[in-house]
Amino acid sequence: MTDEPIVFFEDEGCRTFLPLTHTRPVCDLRCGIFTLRERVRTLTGMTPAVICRSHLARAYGVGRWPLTLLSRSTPLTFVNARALDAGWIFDLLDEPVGTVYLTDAGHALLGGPVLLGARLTPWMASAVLPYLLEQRGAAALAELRRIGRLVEIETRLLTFPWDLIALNGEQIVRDVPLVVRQDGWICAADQPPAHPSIVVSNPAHVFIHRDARLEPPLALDARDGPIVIDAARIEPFSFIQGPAWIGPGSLIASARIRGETSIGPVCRIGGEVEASIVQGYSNKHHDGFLGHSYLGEWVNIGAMTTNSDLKNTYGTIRMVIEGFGQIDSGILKLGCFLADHVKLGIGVHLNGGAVIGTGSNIFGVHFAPKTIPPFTWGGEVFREYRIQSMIDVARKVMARRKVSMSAEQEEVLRAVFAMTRGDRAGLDDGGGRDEAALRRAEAEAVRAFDLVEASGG
Amino acid sequence: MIQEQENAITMQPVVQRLSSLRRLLRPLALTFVGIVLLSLGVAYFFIFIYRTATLPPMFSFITLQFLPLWARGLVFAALGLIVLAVGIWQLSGVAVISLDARDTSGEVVLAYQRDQMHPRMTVISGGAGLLITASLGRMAQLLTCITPVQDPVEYYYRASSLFNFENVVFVVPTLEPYEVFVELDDGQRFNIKHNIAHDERLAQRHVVNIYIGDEHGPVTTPLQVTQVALDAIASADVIVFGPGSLYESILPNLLIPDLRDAIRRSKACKIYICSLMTEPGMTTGYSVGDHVRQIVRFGGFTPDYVLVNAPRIDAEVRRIYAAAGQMPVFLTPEEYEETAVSTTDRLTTRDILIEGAKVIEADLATAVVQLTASLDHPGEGRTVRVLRHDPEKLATAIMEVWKRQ
Repeated sequence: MTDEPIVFFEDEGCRTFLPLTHTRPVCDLRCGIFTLRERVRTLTGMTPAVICRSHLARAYGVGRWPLTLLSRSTPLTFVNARALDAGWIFDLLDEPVGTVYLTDAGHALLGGPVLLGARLTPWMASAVLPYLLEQRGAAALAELRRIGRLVEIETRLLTFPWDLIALNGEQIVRDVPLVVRQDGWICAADQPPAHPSIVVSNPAHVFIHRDARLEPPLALDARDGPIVIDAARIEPFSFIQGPAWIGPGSLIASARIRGETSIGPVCRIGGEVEASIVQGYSNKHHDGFLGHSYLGEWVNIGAMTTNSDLKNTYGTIRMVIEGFGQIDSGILKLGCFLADHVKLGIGVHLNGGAVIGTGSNIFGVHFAPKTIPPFTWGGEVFREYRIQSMIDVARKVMARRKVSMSAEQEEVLRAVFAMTRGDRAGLDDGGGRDEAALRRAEAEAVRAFDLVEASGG
Repeated sequence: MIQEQENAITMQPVVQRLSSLRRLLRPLALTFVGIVLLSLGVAYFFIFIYRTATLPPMFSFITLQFLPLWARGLVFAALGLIVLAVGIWQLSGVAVISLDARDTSGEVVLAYQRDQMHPRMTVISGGAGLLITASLGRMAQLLTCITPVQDPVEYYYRASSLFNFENVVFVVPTLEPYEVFVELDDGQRFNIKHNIAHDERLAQRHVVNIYIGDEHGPVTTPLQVTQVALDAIASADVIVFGPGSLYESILPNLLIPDLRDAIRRSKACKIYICSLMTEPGMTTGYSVGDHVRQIVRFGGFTPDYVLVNAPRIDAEVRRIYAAAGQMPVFLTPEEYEETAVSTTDRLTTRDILIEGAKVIEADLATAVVQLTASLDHPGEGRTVRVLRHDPEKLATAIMEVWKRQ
């Protein structure tokens, strides 16, 4: 395998995925079984470097000023972090130095062809590195047009958040061979589950990790696509329909998992989930419907909270996209997008195309607004969620899964809080209200996690 | 005696800070008298209440009546003095500008604002000199180092990864590397990568011409400049040339027509950091003026400022350099004669001008001990004292120049 460095870069398009990408580079969004970073690591055995926005660089990238990146005399292969499939990267690695791959932007709003990847000498790379450090893919491409040999190729580039949902099913199918070729995987056709109450349809497409715990009765229906169950626990009366992936350490609590669903690692999922992606470390433990939606990490959804993914008019669903305003997704079924650390109380209803920003804590409201900025706190009245309180809660939540928040991750949250302050400018600032009562309520919300932990929740 | 001197040195910053209040001495004294009079009035009022009204027991505790009168006075006076000292100390940390000052230039405000700003800086240099200037990154919004047209850029990235540089990127000047050749005063031509400075046969020679091309002559095809280098020049607040070898590190990039034009068009403050020592075979016998004139000749512009190392160089260091055919780069007596009314420093009345560039003499260098070894005898290293531009001193000088401009 190649030892040439592979470097992901974010371009202008990373903004369209906000708020999901406020706290992680685009290449760390899950679509299919893997994120792009995981997919390339699995394919090449190498850990790619990531050039990303400055507030993420220390936690998720190669640092704000990646001077070591160009310190070797070997060529570097740059890869657009919005790429979905990684197969073309091998073609690029075989191309002569100076080759530049272009692909269609995917949407008229995003302009002409975009820079997909390039194999460059350090000399060439230094001519575009300052642009890539500022996510200026178009400027980098303009320069590379003068230097390189341009090749247009057809591949999918993630352009809007709903692409993650729309392409998830087919990407799961593409990712399955990468997973099951590793040690510890058993095909249900070769070794059917021992218990007769585990009903498997199309066992040739059901792959179960040897450390998975399947508790009958269960139904695994792989007629429409493969089912991949990692070292997870599937509780009785669960139904899983393919294509689906259940990540390691996750718990499926008597849930109905319908097709085109990816459940990341260490999640607790109950109720009904359809065509959705859960990045990882998130809970939707109770009844309620989640459809055509995306959940970031450390999200918690209360019992009976449900989202709509289809309008009564059967019209296409519109969604607010950073920098573009409201955009018609052009698709009939689209649910909600919840960024990292979002907490939803019990019985909250969400519209199709709802977007809730990082760290928001929404409760006590029947129908939440469709767009909620990051670090918003409340229900009937919304106000800014104090960053320290939010981080206190996040620490408790993460500690329950034996994960500690690193200093870099805390810096990221504080940076996002600062950069999104303008989004919350119109929120209630507590003026004329009982500020002390609000503070008490917020403190109670923090303590509530102590109680849950003490009771082993 | 030594102890006294040390105490004086320790107290110097405290005295310096408090001396900033000298303009406030009169208003503060008046305020003090006013407060004393006011306190007397309030005290009389309190005495009246104290003698006529019935007060709760807490009052006697607050007024320290359990202490004798002299002790009460001592406690309150001590507390007052402490509070007063803290107040004056905090006041001395605040910039105070006299409101009736007739300074219409806004110089003070401009200097204050500039002190809060971080400039965008671009450096044209190479070799170890470029790494020295890269340490300026912590003071810059962005420091773009344009590497010499003939040098592999990865060398700079590799070397800089050993340091903890911030806000620094190294960029190449052209879309592809080129070779640089020099012509000596005896007609010989050499690739600049030929180790001219270490070739003893060439020690007494100097360069008369430099060009991008090959041994037959200059390149005839247009040199394509990277957009990132042009952007760095166009957006810079300060462009620094050097420190570094005149012919190896600075002039090669000035031979690129588009880059040269961009520098000429730029309104940035252009600062040339003059070499500390001459280079055998290249700048033998060059004075400060000769260095500047080469920049004017090949770059087509005059730097705004030339930073020259001022302090006398240690005799031992001079001997070491002289043995290698190197001399300190100095201002000649004639160069000292070209002066103009000073606009750079309040302490001097005149600036030295070379080709229109203002010369600033400052302490810019430090003698360091360096281990040297040859490839033939790698085990036989020896330590020598060499003179190097000091990153801290350079940074201070460059920032001072920029703030005062």
